[in-house]
Amino acid sequence: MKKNASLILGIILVSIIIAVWVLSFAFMPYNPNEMNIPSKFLKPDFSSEHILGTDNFGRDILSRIMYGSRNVLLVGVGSVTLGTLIGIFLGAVASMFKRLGNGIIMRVMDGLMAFPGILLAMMLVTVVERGIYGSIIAISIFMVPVFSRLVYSMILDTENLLYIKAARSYGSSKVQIFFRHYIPAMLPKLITQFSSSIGSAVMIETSLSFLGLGIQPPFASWGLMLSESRQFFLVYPYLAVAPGIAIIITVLGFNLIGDGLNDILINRRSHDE
Amino acid sequence: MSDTVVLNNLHIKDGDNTLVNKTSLNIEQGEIFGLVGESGSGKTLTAKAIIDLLPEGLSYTADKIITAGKNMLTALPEGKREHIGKNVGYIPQNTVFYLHPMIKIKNQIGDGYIYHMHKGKKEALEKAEALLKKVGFENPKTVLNYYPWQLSGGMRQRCNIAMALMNDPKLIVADEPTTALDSTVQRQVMELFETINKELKISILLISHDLGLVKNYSHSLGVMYAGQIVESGYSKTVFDNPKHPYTQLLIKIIPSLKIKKNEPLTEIPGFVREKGRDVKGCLFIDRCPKAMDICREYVAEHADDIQNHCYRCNLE
Amino acid sequence: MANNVVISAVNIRKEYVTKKHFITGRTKEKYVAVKGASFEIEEGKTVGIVGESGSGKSTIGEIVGGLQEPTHGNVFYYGRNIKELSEEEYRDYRKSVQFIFQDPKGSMDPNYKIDHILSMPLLTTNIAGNKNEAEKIIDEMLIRVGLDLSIKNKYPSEISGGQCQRAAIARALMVKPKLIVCDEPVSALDVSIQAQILNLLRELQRELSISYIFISHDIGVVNYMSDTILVMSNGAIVERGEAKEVLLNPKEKYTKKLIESAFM
Repeated sequence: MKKNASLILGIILVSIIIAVWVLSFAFMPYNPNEMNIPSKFLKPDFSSEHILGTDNFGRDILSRIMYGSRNVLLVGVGSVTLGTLIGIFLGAVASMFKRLGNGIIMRVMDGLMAFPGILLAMMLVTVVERGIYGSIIAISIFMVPVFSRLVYSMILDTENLLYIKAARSYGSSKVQIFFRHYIPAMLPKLITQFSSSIGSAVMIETSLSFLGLGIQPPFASWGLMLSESRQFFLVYPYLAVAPGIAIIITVLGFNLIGDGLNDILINRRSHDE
Repeated sequence: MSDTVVLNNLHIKDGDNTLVNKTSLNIEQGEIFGLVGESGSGKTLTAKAIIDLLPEGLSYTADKIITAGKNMLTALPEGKREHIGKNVGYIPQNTVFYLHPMIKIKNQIGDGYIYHMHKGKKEALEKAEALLKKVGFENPKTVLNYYPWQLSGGMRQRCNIAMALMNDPKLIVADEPTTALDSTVQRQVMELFETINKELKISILLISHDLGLVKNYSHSLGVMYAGQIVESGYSKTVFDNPKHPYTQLLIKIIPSLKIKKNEPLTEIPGFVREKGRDVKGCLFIDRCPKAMDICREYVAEHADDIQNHCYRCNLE
Repeated sequence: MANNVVISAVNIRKEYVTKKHFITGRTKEKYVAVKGASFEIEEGKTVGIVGESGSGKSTIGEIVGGLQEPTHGNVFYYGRNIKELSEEEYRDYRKSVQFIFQDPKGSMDPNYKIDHILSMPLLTTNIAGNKNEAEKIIDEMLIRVGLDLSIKNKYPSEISGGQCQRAAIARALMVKPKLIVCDEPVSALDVSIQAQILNLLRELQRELSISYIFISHDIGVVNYMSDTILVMSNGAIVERGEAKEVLLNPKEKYTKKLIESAFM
């Protein structure tokens, strides 16, 4: 079996971020919001107290990165989870009432999918509210169409399988069949899509924060840090490096896991033949 | 050499596990050879070894493999592929998936012909039409325009046969060609093979688990059990005088009108062993009604060249 | 004294709508799968239904077992119209009619092991309250159908077709049915295994007094298993009678063709 490089690399990258997240609860060197003007604009120096340096307000960048990981993961994982659950519900409902389902629900999903993610998120955030919970809601709405379409088509595929007929023959109720048979059949694809979607969700969250629509200052968020670093870029370019790398590692990591899982899925399929 | 296929002492392994052992067979030109055995007996693998289609990961050795005149052991890979493409028509198991479901028949039936015989599309379609008529379609032009899902199982199988005939092959390998078909359609398909064999003088390697099927349509046959040919010869000879207990049981199982409804059907209890196939003794010993102690250590090989009847058994 | 009649089918007709009017939903074209079939099944007896693919035999089996509803006609369970049964009585009827399908591995969810698959009917119908009770019944049944208990820990993909069909039979027997609809149960198996399965089904019938509807395209197999035979073609029953009679004195050309193909 070929070693799945994507998956391994992805897991490594995501583990780094998760480690940072875990450490943020116990080992943050400084309060991320604590300003210390005399210490502002310190360059990164591994031997000093501020390993990654300080920003324009003297705030420790490492601490801000660590704190930022909490928001990113909360929004990333939270929004995709919410989107998945709603998507499963809508997909299941759509498959039960074929004409209504295909006609109305799926067409609405198609419409939503026509919008680029960031645009949709921006629109929704202005309606909902700015900040972390607004981001979660907005991004989860963006995620719903993908999952509902996926679930809808998987249910239609599974419906005709013989073992579903067998399950009906010994009297299983529709609900029992759904949880016992449909869900396990759908899990592999759902999990794969889930991982890939977290990458997108993080991308959108950082974009929203960058534009000032996500997490609000003075709280630390990688997108916000990138945005704030713009005015000083020519003089202190290091301010953009830490948040930039953090974003890249996170998004790339989740995308690679998604790709790796997808490869395994495809190989498993052809093995069954 | 008037034989289409000469196979001597084939041995196929998957890592350390022996799948096929000491298998030899000859298919004379213009002959239908039936290779009979249960699932797991190795008949498909044997056929694939003859036409260079073994899946990756399996290793094989043989004293001789000559297919349609070419020595398959010494030929180069590209040479082999070209030779097989031009001279062998292959109809695999699970033919439901053989035809691409999203492509019309006319756009796929000529693929092998165009590629291997270097012909144009127009010629391919003309030949396809003629062959579809030959395999029994009254309106070949209509069939060409169909998608595979518009055809019934039996019709699809006939398309597969037509496709296999496109290159005027010397040998057709048909792997379980009638499984999943109704018994009435099975008969039609088998009679088609018979016709092709008689009129076009094509040799056919017919693989099946159904001895009854093979009996009526093959000139010679080989019975495989757990990776070995345990009995082979002219069909009539083997049927009139089966020597191996397994063959005898298989013959008993063939359904006939004389079945007594109140008696249980003849069974072969147990199942084919997957591992441990390279022991010296007889592999059928666990299920053989006539097993003796000596069968555990040694199996006598009888070869009667005059009658062309060979079998592996300690019984006379 | 005749046996009790378990199932009685009266004038069953099944139509499928193939073309609907775009807006009004009115039926424009329909396909008739079954054209008015009537028959009875007594306790402990087997009714064989034989015909080519597309003859409607599987559809009738599913209608009689409650997996599909007839477009017209009625099914009676021990004399009572199934449309008029109370919820509890209807559940009892569905429990009493079980199925075995042509593709044994396909009829089992590949994501579960055999013991879990066999426990599902027990837990669904509340015959067993928990996994332990279920396990006892499962063990008993596996031995009954001739399987080694080690099969409980395997997935359907890891066992042979014959073993899988035995497990499917065990599953059908779990809920102590009165009637099992066998839809081409041996067509996908090697001939040497077919005999094993057919012998098993016959044994079980004698022991447990189960009725069968035995559906197949192979009249030889149907003959061996059945007391009476219905010959179907294009949705209609074209010939019927005692199995021996139909085989020795076929009246319809179609029946003769079926007989010829089975006993080549």
